[in-house]
Amino acid sequence: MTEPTVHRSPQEFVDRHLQSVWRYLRMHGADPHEADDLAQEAFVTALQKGALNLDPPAAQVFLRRAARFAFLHHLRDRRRDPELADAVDELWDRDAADDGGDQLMRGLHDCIDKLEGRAKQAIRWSYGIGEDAASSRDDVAKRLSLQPNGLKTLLQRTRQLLRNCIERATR
Amino acid sequence: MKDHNQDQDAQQRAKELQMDACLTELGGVGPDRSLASRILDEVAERDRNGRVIAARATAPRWLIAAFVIVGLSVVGGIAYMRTNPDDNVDKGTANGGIEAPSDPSDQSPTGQDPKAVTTLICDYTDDCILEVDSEGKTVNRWPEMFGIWDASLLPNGNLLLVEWSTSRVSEQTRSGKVVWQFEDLKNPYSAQRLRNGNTLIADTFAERVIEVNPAGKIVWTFDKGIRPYDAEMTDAGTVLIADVIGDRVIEVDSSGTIVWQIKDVKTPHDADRLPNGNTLVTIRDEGGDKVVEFNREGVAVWTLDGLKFPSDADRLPNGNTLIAESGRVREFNKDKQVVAEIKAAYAVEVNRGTARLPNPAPQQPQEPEKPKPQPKPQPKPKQTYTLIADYSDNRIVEVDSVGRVIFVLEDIFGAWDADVLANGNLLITEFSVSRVKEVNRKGKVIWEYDDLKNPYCAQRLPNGNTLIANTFGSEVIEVTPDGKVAWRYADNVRPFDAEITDTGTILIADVLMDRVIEVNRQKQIVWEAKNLPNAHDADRLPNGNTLVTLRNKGAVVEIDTNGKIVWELTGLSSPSDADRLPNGNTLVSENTRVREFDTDKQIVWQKQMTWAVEANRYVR
Repeated sequence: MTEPTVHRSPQEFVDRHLQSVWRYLRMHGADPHEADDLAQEAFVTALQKGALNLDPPAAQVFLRRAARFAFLHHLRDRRRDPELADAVDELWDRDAADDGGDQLMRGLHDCIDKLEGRAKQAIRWSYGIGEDAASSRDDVAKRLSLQPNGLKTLLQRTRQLLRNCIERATR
Repeated sequence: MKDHNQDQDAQQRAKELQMDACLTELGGVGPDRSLASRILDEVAERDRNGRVIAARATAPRWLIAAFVIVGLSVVGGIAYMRTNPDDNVDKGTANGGIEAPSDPSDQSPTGQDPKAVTTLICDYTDDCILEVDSEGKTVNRWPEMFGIWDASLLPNGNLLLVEWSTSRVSEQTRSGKVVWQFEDLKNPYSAQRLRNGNTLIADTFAERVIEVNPAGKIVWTFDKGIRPYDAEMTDAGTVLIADVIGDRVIEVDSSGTIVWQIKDVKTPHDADRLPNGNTLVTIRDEGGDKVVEFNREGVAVWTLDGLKFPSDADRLPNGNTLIAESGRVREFNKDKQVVAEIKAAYAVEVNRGTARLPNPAPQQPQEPEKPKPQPKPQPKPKQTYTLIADYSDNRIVEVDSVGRVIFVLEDIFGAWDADVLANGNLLITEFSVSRVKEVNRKGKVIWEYDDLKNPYCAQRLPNGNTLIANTFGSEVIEVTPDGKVAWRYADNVRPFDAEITDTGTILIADVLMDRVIEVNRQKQIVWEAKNLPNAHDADRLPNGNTLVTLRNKGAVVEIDTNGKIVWELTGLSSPSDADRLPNGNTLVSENTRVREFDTDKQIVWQKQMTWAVEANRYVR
């Protein structure tokens, strides 16, 4: 079934784009609550400006611009880092622009599945992935018989492994 | 050229952010469940207020066109909205930085060109500025202008704003970016940007008129027994002042000498020097509110009676007079007939322009609505201070009873909680770097604990330990001064707030189960209130009730021991914290501000912030 060329309703507009806009804001460094508020701001702006009438890809671009502006506007001058924001956008364009990051998420999930041993447990327990609820660093370290610093190092290495894995998968 | 290392560093950090975002999302962190409905509710609300949402097939052309607002220029006092033909949202992602042109709120996807004439109206009661087009339709609305009393269009398209309630004069872009501000004021009423780039301000309750340069330095002051409701520089370089203490309009030169005056004008709110040399004065007199044109000899040559609480009057180039009153803005011709009218809750200023307003309906003029009571500054104890955690600005701010910033502690990363301790130090919770620390007023760290995962609040207990809501660690812990965990509650909670009660139990706002619970030291739940989604704060009140802040609902509720709501405040903007003050009022931290409400839910004090997440009132 082909996608409609315009959005049928505000509800459909929000449902279609909310997750990717929220994800985009998180990748810019917004915490979950900030992402909620800024996504709301971006959607309200977009709907007020008639973005409902844009085709979905154009609406996504509009929403991302609104979200980016809202995020940077939300920060004070000294915390703004346009270079970082540009770098995030470059990554987004490379990895997530086509589908709002869904493939990236699936790729990461697969990469985590390929991990083994303590690296896999450290990631799953620290982030609450799978059936495990997120635990504190202390608890994860204890469960893995590691010192907190050891866990920190393990997580750093594992994140790098995941990064390499994703880049191989998306290349 | 950009530094290569900087580029690499930014790329590396971007990758880390991407990984973090993805991992936490895989761990189940996602948009708030109610976010979609919140967006749709807000859109629907704005739609009811006349904003465009509808699809293009059904939207009236003027309505679509009204949103093609990319520039605002002033030509001979006329405000025009023009389209920018280069604007097109399909250009792709904006990598052009953060300047106003990249603000989508200044753009429209439609690309049409109405060349509409607009009028700016300051609506004091509704804390907003309205932009109204030539058909009388509101095409833009800037909310949260606290006690807005004056707004004017600058030649660069920005707005010069005077917020009476927050004692601030600021220059802002149309998208709300503050490019200049001056806050060392006490309830100002008007401001004027001068040709030299300085700003003339009627600093009303400081009883002075000042000229401030762009660097924020006061370069001229006139404070000889006046309470200025309006001040403007004339073409001759003198300053015309509407003085309500002396019931007069005076004209002073740069040396402060009064060179001209009109006496016995009751409570003058506005005074404008006209091109013919006469002076147009807006008068509020119990015997009859009016606008009067005086000649140089002080003789009234034109009078318009029958007004209700007028605050501003402008003579338009067509000879008509535009007047901001309670409930409306009206345009009168020379024969004093109403030729146009716009409704507004309480218009206190209308921008100088030639916009023709819509004809009044046949039944008009109606009896004007009674103005809503104006929030007046509540007398506060002289040594009352409010400590505010300003989350997005990464700082702690202390303000005095009139809202002046008297202390700032910067670089508090993700400031989510701040308390003043008995020894005068501050106990601060830094969400972003997962740390709770005690610092002195100079910022020196006296004590800290960082084995945490994004904590939201901390409280110093009478025994010297510190109670911490280790939010994303899903636990509440009590930490001794030497960093040992003396007590822990981690039974299926995500605590956004935790505090000890007078009986030694711990009250916890738990967003995981949408509840507030009270647990004893044996970790038994001794009281519970359910169905409290996204409770960010819970305080036990002296009467045994509990004050709960519900962020997503935009509400603060007081519930009794049975969980029944006995008092509530609604319509708040993402509140994170609420405290019941000793005077019975309620202090609420919201997105962009802290407000104090009395028991009748009237605002009696407020301070604008970037994002206030916690505020505590102290008396010193």
